[in-house]
Amino acid sequence: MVFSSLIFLYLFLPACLLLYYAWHNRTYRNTLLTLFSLVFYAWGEPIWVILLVFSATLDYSIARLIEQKRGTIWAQAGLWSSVTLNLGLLFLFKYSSFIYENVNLLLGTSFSIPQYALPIGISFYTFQTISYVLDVYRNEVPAQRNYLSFLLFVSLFHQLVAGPIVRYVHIADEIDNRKFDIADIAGGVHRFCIGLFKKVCIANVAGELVVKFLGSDLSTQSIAGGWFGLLMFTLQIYFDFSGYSDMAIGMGRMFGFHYHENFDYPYISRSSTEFWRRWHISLGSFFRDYVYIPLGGKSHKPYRNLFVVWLLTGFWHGASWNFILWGLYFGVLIGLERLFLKKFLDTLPRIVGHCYLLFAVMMGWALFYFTDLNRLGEFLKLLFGGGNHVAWNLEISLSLKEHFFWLIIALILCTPVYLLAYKKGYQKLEQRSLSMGQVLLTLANILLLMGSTAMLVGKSYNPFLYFRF
Amino acid sequence: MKQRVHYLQLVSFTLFLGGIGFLSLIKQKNTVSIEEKRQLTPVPVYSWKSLKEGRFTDSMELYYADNFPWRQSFMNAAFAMQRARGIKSEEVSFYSTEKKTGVNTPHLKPEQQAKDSGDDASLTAEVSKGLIIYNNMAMQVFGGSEKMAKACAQSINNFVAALPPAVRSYCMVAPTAGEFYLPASYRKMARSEKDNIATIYNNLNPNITAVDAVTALAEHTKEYLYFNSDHHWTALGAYYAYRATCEKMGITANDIQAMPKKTINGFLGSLYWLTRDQKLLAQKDFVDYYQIPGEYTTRVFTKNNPNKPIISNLLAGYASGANAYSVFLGGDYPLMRVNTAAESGRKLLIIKNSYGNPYSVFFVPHFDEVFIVDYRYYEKGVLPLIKEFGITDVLITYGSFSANTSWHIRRLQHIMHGNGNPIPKKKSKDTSATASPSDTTKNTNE
Repeated sequence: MVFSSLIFLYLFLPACLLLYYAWHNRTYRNTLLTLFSLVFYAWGEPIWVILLVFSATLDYSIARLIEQKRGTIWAQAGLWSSVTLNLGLLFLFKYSSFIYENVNLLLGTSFSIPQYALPIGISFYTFQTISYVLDVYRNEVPAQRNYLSFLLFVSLFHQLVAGPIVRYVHIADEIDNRKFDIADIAGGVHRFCIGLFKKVCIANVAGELVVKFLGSDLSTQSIAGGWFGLLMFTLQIYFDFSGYSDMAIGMGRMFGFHYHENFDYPYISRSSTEFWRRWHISLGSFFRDYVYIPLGGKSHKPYRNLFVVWLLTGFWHGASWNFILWGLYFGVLIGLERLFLKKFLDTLPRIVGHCYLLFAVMMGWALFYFTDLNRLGEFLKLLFGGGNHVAWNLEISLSLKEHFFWLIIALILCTPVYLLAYKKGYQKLEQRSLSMGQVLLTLANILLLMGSTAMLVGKSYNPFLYFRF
Repeated sequence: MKQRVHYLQLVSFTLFLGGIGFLSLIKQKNTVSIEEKRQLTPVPVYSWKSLKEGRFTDSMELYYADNFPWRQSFMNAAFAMQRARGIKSEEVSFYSTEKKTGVNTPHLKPEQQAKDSGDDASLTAEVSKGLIIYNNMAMQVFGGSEKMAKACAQSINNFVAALPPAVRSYCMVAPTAGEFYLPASYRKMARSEKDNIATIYNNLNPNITAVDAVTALAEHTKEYLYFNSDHHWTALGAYYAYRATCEKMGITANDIQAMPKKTINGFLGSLYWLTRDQKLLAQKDFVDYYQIPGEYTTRVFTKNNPNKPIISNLLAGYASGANAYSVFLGGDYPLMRVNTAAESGRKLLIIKNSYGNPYSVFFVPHFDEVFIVDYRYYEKGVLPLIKEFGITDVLITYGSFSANTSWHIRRLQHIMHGNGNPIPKKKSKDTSATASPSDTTKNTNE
């Protein structure tokens, strides 16, 4: 199931909330959340839900073993078997066909390529369980004794399919002991509504334009159309992903969980280094804590470590060469920034840094979007005027006009303007009259929900030229 | 800090979602959307296989969305939001029509989806480059290629080669509104329908007589040849093509002045429902139809009852609203058989899609019998039909879009022999039932 579906919004979520708050009992609430989470997952993956439960059971047992046999070879064996199994599953499902394809290409062999459908969310929950086992091994957190509590951590539907990658250590206390804070819950509700709006009203619209401008035949595309398409993908991927994170964080708060922030207005950065501190923070910090620092961080072979981290970051995003290139591209940029570029940029006006970063990120998204490297080459040629393309055409001018206000809103929402307005305007209002503030937010929530619902229902509008009764 | 008023957000959120969710469960379900001209997604049938393949849950989502409370109002809000996204040009709008063909039918098996998508194929990316609304008139932007035109000609050649040698064969490919009404500045986006049709004709075998409808219509572009809000032509447009065809057939066309005209007002066609563009709402189309001379009986063989003819109407005057175009032939039937008192010694078989509906009507007075086959739905063999009834003339007609769409081209080969079921008996006594308007709406209509 996805958050931006009518069944989730109008049946699953309210049912879950009502049943959850119907009875004040920890075991009841945790069981309920786990059951709902498993249904949520099974809705999209009726088979691989077994894998999820298997994975959770395994890591639950191994972590307990590690704790009991701490300091012995058994603990080490447990750690390695867990990491190997988790990564093995991830490799099997996500990377095996990619590896076979490339082996065939390289050695001229003809192994039949395995075709596994990728279980939803496996990249996220695998990393969550790995981080848990590692943290237990490092004695940073005690192993969870209650199997149900652990299953809840792994399967919790808020962050199961699209992150953020929640570390066990961050919510360990909240699994067993959540505080009821209605003001915080109210904040979560508002956060959820904003996330839904970002996903449905901005990312989805941008997505349609991406298909129109990047998904079709590039040979007839105008140069402006190429840039516009790339800008649309830049917006789509941010609003889609951060909208999902907002919804996850918001829902977490509705049920008393507090997840770390995953996005912090990445497009206002002035360097790639800064961008990656603001973009998909839970992934960046995972690689920092479990790969970069153990390898030696800045003090021991820093450039090799950078290379490894960015290779893995790219590869994590998908089993295709373009993702690897995309990861390494950022690795190189960050390396260059560390060497001299950052210092140089700091001597220039701030706007130069912003332009540099936006250009670098958009080029990165081009790498990210085109899984076919030939098409990528064609696209880059289009962008930079190599080839026989018109600069401008009717299609782009109509699309720009017809999305003019929407585009302005989307661009503004990439910056912390809303946050600023909230702090400067809303909080003052709330100080004067709390009720008025809450009524205002309630109305805003309903409006956001109604707008998003209209868009979701509108998607089902599918008229046929020919009667199909 | 914690105060009671903080409950407002959680409670209103839960009640809003839960309330509408509850309504969605108890609400009476619809089966048909007139506006979208389609059946709403039915309740998915559970099976382990369909669950495993994800079809069950996908269908469930569509079923839920199709039956959502106040669906129409939410839909209208969505269109209003869409309009508010930017500045709509007064003069022109462009819609890309990369339609989600088949997306709405996960409850069908893949092979059924492939078949069904053929109905909509003339608006798929294969041939349509989008839709332009100019001067309050919606026009599809033609994208047919030379390759497809040649494939179409080849298919017609193959078809005609299989006919008994004495049968005379004709071909008429109709241009659409875009060919005549797209302004010069937007014409660059489209390919020429005229050139494309010429390519089809140039590649036809010499024993096939081609009818130049483009020239026939070009002289009358000031008249009401095409609907503003629909992708079809009017009866008047079809009439000029009919006149050109008569010349080639060696028959005298009836004068349009001599045929009493009737009008159905308030027609809002397919391209409005596709775009919901307000400019089209302002432009009220009407459907004229002409009563043809002479006596005739019309029988149809429906999809559900292919062996049992029922008496029907050649012109269904009761058609109205979004359905008004189905006045011609009363909709799309796999096979229609019209008997007349013409005594011309000739029998005509027309092979058409819905573009041919108003056009086909005009031929009735000139032939002893007219058989009208809709190649999209006809599942029996055409060749046995021709032999059994002694057909003397065959007229194959396409719209320019369908002529350039592979599904439609292939379909002509399919109906040569059909799927092997026996053809309907020559005389059935069971002709008592009369097609009612409700029957008509159950039939597909281009």
